[in-house]
Amino acid sequence: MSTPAAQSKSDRVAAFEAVVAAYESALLRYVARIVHDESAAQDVVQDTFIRLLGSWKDRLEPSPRLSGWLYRVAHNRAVDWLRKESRRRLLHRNQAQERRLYVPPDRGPEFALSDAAVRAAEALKGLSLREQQLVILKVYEEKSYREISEITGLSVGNVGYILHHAMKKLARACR
Amino acid sequence: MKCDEIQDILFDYMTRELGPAQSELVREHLRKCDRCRAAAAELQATLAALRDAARDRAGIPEHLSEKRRRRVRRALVHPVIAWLERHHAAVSIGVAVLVILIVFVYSRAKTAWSYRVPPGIPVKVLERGTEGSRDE
Repeated sequence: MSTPAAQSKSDRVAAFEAVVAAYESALLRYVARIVHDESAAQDVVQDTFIRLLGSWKDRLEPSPRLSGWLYRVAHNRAVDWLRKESRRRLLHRNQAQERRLYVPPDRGPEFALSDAAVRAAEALKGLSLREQQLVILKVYEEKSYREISEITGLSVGNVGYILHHAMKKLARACR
Repeated sequence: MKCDEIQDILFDYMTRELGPAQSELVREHLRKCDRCRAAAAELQATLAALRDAARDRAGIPEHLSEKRRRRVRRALVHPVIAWLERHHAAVSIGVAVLVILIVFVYSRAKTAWSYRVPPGIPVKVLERGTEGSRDE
């Protein structure tokens, strides 16, 4: 494997652009579903890519290892943001109330979700952050247990165990 | 396999995480067991509802905004500037402390310089009760 030193500056810029193009949409989707805030998702993904530049020592190119690293860092940054946000909300309760009253825009009948889908999405928000993370990665992002294990640092068995219980809770909530 | 064991791995089965042998065991069990088939149907409905919910992209950006993209690019081309931008609060505090220190040291040095004795001029030390004292 060639090292970053072997990559010239222009190669590195091109490689980095390719990495951003390959992962930005997936990371934005993932983070937005965790933080439920478009602007925060943008900030988190931007910081993740900037951190990649300082921390990634291998060649910059899309790979399962790089993908796992990006999801892991994005998740940790998203959790940091949620912690800060919950502290901020405690200070600004009124603002929090306004956020709860937010209703997504009506985008026509072709985009309308079924009642079951709305209930499932609401029930998902009620799960622990770890359970939400695994359900989003497995069901929404269609990652395998092995990939989820690499992202979260959990064992494959543990991923299956947590998902099994999370899905049971969701099924109960959707009845 | 018992029903509880089958139900523990139903989600793995539905998301194709099981090997062929275990998948066949689950399939065979579901053919014969009404209770597990009902559990599978419920799980399948939940999974379908979640997948339907995944279509909802409201509040989910497709790409980084142009402003963020520029910032990311700058971090690649000008890492020092990007670092300063990211740590602007700490950098601002550091610069402020440095300026205060410089002003303090400069004013002390200026005072010491204004009271310095030029070289070559004899220094007359006045002592209490000696010539030149106001007590006389």
